[in-house]
Amino acid sequence: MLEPFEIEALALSFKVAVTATAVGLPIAVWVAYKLSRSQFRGKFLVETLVHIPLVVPPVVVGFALLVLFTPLSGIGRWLSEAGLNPAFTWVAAAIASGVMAFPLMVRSIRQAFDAEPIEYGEVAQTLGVDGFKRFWRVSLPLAAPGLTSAAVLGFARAIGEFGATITFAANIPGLTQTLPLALYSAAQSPGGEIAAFRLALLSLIPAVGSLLVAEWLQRRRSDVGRRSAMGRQSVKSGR
Amino acid sequence: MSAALLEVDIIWRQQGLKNRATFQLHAGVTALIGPSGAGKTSLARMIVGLDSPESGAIRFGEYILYNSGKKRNIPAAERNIGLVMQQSALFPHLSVEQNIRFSGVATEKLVTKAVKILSLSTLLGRRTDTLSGGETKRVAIARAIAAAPSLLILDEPMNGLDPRARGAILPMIKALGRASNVPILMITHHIEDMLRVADHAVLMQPRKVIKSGSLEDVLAAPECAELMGLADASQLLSTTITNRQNDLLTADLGGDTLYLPDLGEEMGSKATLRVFASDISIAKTRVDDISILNQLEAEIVQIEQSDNQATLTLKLTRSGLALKSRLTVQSVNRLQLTEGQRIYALIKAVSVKDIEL
Repeated sequence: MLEPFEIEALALSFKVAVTATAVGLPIAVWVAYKLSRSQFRGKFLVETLVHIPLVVPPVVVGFALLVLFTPLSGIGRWLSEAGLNPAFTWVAAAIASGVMAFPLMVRSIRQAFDAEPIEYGEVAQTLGVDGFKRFWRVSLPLAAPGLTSAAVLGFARAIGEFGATITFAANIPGLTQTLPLALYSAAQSPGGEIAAFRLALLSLIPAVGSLLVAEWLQRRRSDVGRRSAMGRQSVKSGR
Repeated sequence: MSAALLEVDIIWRQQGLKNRATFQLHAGVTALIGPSGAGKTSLARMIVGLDSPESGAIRFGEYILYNSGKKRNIPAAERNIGLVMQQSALFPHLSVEQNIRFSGVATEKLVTKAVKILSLSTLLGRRTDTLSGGETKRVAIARAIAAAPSLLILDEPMNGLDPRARGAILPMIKALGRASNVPILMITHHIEDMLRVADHAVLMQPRKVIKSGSLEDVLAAPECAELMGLADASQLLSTTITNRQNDLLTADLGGDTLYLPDLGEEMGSKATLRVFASDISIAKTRVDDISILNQLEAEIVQIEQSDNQATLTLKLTRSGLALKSRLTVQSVNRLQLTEGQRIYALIKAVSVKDIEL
């Protein structure tokens, strides 16, 4: 039913987007927490840097990554000598989509941290729980809804990533050619309309999939809310 | 009185205005009373370490918690002072039991004790958003106690609770003060709560602690009546119940006998009574054909007049105890009362309100 190259592109897209989200999320949590709770020198700079991928053309981000990782630069040379330079591999595609998804994840998580009532952290302190423990046991669980929506948003953004990926990772079938890139190639080749149409339909799978997951998570949460509302009711009627 | 446990002498600024608090805290339950907006919560937050004063010192026993001169300011997490906030702030992602066990030092023994004193055994598995206001407050208190604090501060623990929940929580706070060696500082703006629970009191007017010490001393302070919106200065009398006859109790007040409505006190038990100055009338001779039973011999020590009111300071002949009586200036003139005069202080039995409920 599906051509091997289609399955390959779909699998690669998943691999790239899952990696980008899984690696990006913890970093986004850390950055969001720092931005939400700490005052430090250069905070404005960090905020700007984090949000750059949202406002500059993705191709520029891809180009910047390319320059950053070229063997002529410090990081690139060091990675090349270690045999780890990611340019033109699926890892490059994951880095490109991760960078593009990062600001969306940070924003969503930061909102959750900002919304936490200050009293919870203060009570934790009076109970002798502070620092990382306080973050781990109070702030992180309370921000859980923000984290799931960050993951869904980030995944959706990563799987649709095109400009930064094609610039940094190139469009190599089977290696860096994710669904959007394959679709682009098909649409560019004469007589590729059918293939492009099929790829477009295929792209719906991860998109609809992430929407369904988001919906399921939200439903589960409101179920909990309903249960607790019912609990309250039974307490009252029990009196 | 036992040695001071907590010594506070701090200055802080709030909305640009200077605040000052100097007082000592002893074992037992101490009420921090004052009108809303006096700065009670701010003071508590600085003792706990959530906010910092501008200058001064806070000391607990031998430990210096804060000292501006020595540049010392122990973080809240290391002060070991429990705070039950007005909002309670139970962690919504944890069950009742997980909340109580939240602190790293909550031992099995401490948890069991806290659960017992605050009657929480049936609520342990519940989600916190299914609790009533009173239950929420009790869980918050248990959570603080289970952390083995060396001092517990309760910020308006009765706020927002219905009378039934208040009635349930007050004895628990009292029991807590007795069962544990943890001194308790209870913030309240209700005199009644203070009278029912506290051993000592600290009175705060906006931006300043003005009096601290025994309940009697604080209640007798002229500022107290004004600040707390009492109609009148009230005074506390310590009595011993001696007899019961015809629905009336008799109580001994340093040699004088008082008749009280029967509130079910045990013979020989102590009862603290509160009497408003306006509930004490004066007669120049003993009056027999009158419904007032309590007629105590006294001497007028001082007469102070302000506007249309006169406040008489009386000294009871038998016990030497001081009492204040409030009359109109007309009455003082009509009876030709003067300082040094011997009179009878008339106290209506029903106005002697028992407060050791």
